[in-house]
Order: sequence, then structure tokens, then C-alpha cells
Amino acid sequence: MMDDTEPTTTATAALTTDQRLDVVEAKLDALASQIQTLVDAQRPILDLASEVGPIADEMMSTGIDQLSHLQDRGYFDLAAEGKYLVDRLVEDYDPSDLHDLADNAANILDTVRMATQPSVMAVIRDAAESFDSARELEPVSPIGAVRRVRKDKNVQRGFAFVLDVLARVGRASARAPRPSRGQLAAAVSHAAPPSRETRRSSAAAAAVGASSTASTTSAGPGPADESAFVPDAEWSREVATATAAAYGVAELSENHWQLIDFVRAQYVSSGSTPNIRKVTKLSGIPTRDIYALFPKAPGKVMAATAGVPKPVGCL
Amino acid sequence: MKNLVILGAGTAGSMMANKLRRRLGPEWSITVVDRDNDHVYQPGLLFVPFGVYRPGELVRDRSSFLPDGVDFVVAEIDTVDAVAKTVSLDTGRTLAYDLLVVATGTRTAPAETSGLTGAGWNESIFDFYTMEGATRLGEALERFTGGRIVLNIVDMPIKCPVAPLEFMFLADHHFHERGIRDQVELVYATPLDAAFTKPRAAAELGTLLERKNIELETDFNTSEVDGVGQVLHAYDGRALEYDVLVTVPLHQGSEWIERSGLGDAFGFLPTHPNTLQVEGLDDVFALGDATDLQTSKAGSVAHFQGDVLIENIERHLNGVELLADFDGHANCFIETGFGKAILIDFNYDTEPLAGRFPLPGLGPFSLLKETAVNHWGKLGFRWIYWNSLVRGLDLPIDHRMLMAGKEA
Repeated sequence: MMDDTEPTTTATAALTTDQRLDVVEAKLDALASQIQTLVDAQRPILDLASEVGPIADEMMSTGIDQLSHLQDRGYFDLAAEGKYLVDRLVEDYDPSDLHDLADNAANILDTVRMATQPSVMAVIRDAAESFDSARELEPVSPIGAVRRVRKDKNVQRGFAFVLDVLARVGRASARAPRPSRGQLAAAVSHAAPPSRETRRSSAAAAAVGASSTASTTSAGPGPADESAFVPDAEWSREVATATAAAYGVAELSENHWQLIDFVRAQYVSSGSTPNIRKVTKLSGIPTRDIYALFPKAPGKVMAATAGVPKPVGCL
Repeated sequence: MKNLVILGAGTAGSMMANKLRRRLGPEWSITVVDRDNDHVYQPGLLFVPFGVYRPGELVRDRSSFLPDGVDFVVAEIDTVDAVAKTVSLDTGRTLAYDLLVVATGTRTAPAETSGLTGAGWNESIFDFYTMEGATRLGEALERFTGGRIVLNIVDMPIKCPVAPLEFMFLADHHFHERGIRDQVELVYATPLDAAFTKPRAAAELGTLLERKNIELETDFNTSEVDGVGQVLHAYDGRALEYDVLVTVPLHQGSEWIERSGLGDAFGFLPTHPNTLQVEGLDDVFALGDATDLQTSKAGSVAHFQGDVLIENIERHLNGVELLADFDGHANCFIETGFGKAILIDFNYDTEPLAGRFPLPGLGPFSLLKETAVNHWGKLGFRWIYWNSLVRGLDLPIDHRMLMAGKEA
């Protein structure tokens, strides 16, 4: 170690002051570039810090606004009461119950789904009403009950239903006390397809609704589909004249035709409909003259009359 | 030694310089040309009139985004000779290229509209697409105590097509906060036939304008401005009086494109919509606002194009067929005021739809819906822009638009 450093020290000692200053300068240079690299690396982080501050402030204030809104609506009072509910649940249920609950989740949801069908809810509501009015009902003796089963069709149907439920309960209780995972899976797979089906069809219905609203929004005052190209076979002077009339341009002069033919030719050759400025620039016809011929929204009306899509505004 | 020249060091040019320097070998020299060294964070300009961002916060040196091993030349481009494959600069210097990437964007041309830059320019008429205009507009809004503010879009296409709508929403918010909203009339005059082009977004945004009591004048094709009488005229005879006119001037391509005879009628470069190769020129590619493509002129588009272009340049150099992979994908945050924003995601064929983004069903952003999370995304985007996007780093969003997460 000492042997290595010895000659170097001697060498340094042998250098002139200027040379030594050069060495120091070179080292400082190297250091400076390293510091610059470090500073450069810090820059994004410093940037981020200065950006995050104000955004975090906004998030905080929006969050607090939201909380105060919830408080106004009474959510917190409800939540406080909710704690009592949770306490009751904790007292009454133990973890193994929760485990069973998880196993049964699909069954429970399925049951809730079926139980909340409108027809079922209607029956329950009727039953509830009947319970309310139970005090006013005449007591029925066993013989009277038999008579009503014999005479009243509604009671017969209800009786059949009650018997059916009793039979199901009996069958279920004869099985294992807790359903196996396999049975659950079967129940789930049985339950799943129809529900998924319903979702899909309702989504499809929604899509149909959406697209029909979309098409109404895009429908302009004119008769034609503004986004379609009318092929030569279907486009004629007569068709163009009718279209122009529908847009309020009653008569088409030679000057009109010059513009209409120009717009159509432009679309055919370039694949896009020129807007008014482009028509002016390319054809040399001043914008004012175009407006004199097609006073209302000439870009759109010329395109429709020429049987080409309306000029894209370019998002 | 082979030469790659990139024209423009904005969003698209800087991004491509970074991507290409990483991808191309040392036998390639890369030169980037721009007229100045000021890289403006353009999405921030919208916020300058409302004092959210100060001008100084939005400008950085272009050179700070360019990697080592790239030459940066500050000069005005005079012409490009696509046959001799050279770029002439106004400094007298000529750059020869083997491959040219055009990213010179678009510029506003207010002088193209009669009367716009005459009486009242920067006094009662402002544009917020330049730092100067946005700053002066900010001063005017501060002085403003009531009256009629009209915003007009001279013609499409424009940079960031939703920015004018955002301006209206933010103005509504601004005057509400100052308690003088009932003294202010806001009018939005567009050459389009609705608040927006595509039906669902137009319906959504139209409703929003109505709810915020912003008047909508559609099919309004500006003919001239009477700066003395403070009236905005349309070709169909309509006239709108204003106290303040916020104008979105006509947009055109860079002047050198016209001088070189390469552009369309408005100086945009005819470009293949899917491969991004300039039509008729084998060794020239274009991206960003400089192209004539039928998609938004927006940074997000340039970013998605960059992902396709880097592959295509490599393929081109290896003589492999180009990928026709760019689908017009764009996505924009639309500030709607009061700490909320809408996000839209769309491409050439698919209009903006509702849903979640970027993770289907999860978000965290919501499409075509006003949420606070979208607004935070918009604010946070500046960091992503400076530190990832312009540096050509990958962002976790694919260049292909996904239908997953959208409600068709």
C-alpha cells in the first residue's frame, strides 16, 4: 500500500503549481458533470413534488366536500346505527357461520333473486295485507277448513302450494345437513346462465336504445343520410335537385352545378369532402359567392346535394 | 455515416429524437432543427388566462429534452428539396438527409381573417393559442366586470379541438367564482353543426353548454371582424356583437412546406393515414400536427403515432414492408370547470364513447363523463409530458384504441 502511494506522491511533488492546478481543475470538472447528472436525475422528482402538492390539495378538498355532503344526507348517523347492527351480527354469528355463508353465497343470491320476482313479491304483499286484516277474519273450525278446501278453488291452489312446499322441506331435510361444494357448484352453474342471459339481452336492449338516440341526434334537417356516399348509379341531376330543395335551395343554376360537380369530383378523387375554405382555395370561387348560392351551411348542403359525406370537422 | 434530420423539436420531434437515438446505431447522425429554443407546454396555455399556470412555468429549453448524440440546430427552415434530399436553412446552411422526419406542427394565421389583427387586436380581440395572446387575455379577463364574451373558431382543423370548449367552461367557472357570472354573456360560435363533430360527444358537450348557460351558434363561418364596432360577421349574414372576442384563428402548416411545394391547400403534408410515410416521398415520414390526417391535432396523437413510426422507420431501413398500424387514436381531457373534466378516447372509425380508461371497467378515468379524477389526470399530465412523453419514454397506454371498457 505504502509502496504504491509513495511514487505518486513524489510525482505530484515534482509537478509545478500550474500543473497541479490543472489536475485539480480536471477533477473539479469531472465532479461538476457528476453533480449535473445527479441534479438532472432529481429534476423529475422535484417536478413531481411541485405538481402533486396542488393536486393533493384539490383531492383533499373534494374529499372533504364529499364527506360533508354525506354528513348532510345523514349517512354518518346511519353508519353509527349500522355499528349496532354489526355488533348484533358479531354477537349472533361466529366465523364458521361466515364460512357457511360464503359457501352458500350463490344459493342465497339466487334465492333472493327468485324471492324478489314481482309475482312472488305480490303474493307476499297480499299475505301481509291478509295478516293485517287477520283480526277481522272469522275463526275457522277444522270442519269449516275442510269445507273451504272442497269449495274454494283459490284455497285449493294455495293448499296444493303449501303441500308442495312441505314436500320439498321434507326432501331437503332427508339429505345431508350441509350441502357439499359439488352441489353448490351445480346450483351456481344452473343459476348462472339465465341471469347472464338476462344481462346480455338487457345490455343489447340498452345498446339498441342508445344507437337509436344516436341516430336521431345525428339526423339533420335534410332527407339524406349525411354520412353516406351516393354511388353514380343512384345519383342524378334529379336526385340532386330534390336534395337541394329539401335543404331550401329551390333552383339550381349553372353556378350551383359547377360547385356541386366540383365537390363530388373532389370526393371521388381524394376520398374526402372538401370544406368551404378548401373549395374556395381549390376552385377559386370566393366564399361569398358560395354563400350567395347556398345561403345556409353551404359545406353541408353542397355535400348532401353532391351525394357525398358531409365534410369531417376533424375532431 | 448516414444522416437523419428531424424538422421540429416540439412534442413530436423531441419524442422521435429520443426514440430514434436509442434505436439507431452509431452510424447514424441525428440533427434536429427548430426556429428557437423555447419548448412550450401547449396544453397549459388554456390555463394561463385564468391564472392557473404562469407563463414561466410552461416553457423549457428544447435542448434539455434532446438526448446526447443529437445535434440541435436553431434556424428557420427555408425549403426542403425532396429530390436532392436536402434541407436549406435561412442561415445559409444546407443539411443533406438520408431520412427525414417532419414534425413542424401547425401555426395560427390570424392575419388570414379580414379585420382580425386590425383594430382591437390584443385589446378586445385575443387568441389563447400563443403565450402572448394567453397572457394578454388573462389581463383582460382580470379587468372584465361584465358584458359579452364571444369565442369563435375560424375554421377546422385546429390544434386541440376541445380547447375552445374548455375555455368556455373555465370562463363560466371563473366568473362564478368572482360572483359576476350573471353579468357575463358567453357565446360559442363554431363552424361545425354542433358543439362537437361526433354525435355522442356532441350531445354530451351540447348539454353541458346548455347547463352552464353558454350560448351556442352553429354553422358560424366567420367572414370578417369589425374591430372598431366590435362585431363579428359570418358569411351567412349573422353578426355577433362582443365586448371581448376570443378567437381561434385559422390554422396552417409550416411556411417551408408551402415554399417547397409539398403541402396541400393549407400547408399540411399529405401523409399515409396508417403508415405515416409522406405520400410520394420514400424517405420522408411525418407525424404530429404537420400532417393532413383526419384525426385530432393533439399531443396524444403524436405520441401514439410515435409508437408506430419508430417501428416503421426501422422497417423502412431494413427494406421490410411498413406496418399500416396507426388507427387515428387520440385521447383528450376536456376541462369542464369546477374541478372536473371529461376524458374522450377515439380513432378514425370510432367516435368517443362512454366507459372506463385505461383499464376496462376500473378506470381510474371515466370516458365521456365529468369526474374529479379526470381533472386530476389533466393536471398531473404536465409532469408526464415533461418527463416521459417528450423524452420518448413508453407510457402504459397502447397506440391502438381498445373497445374494451367502452360502451358501444
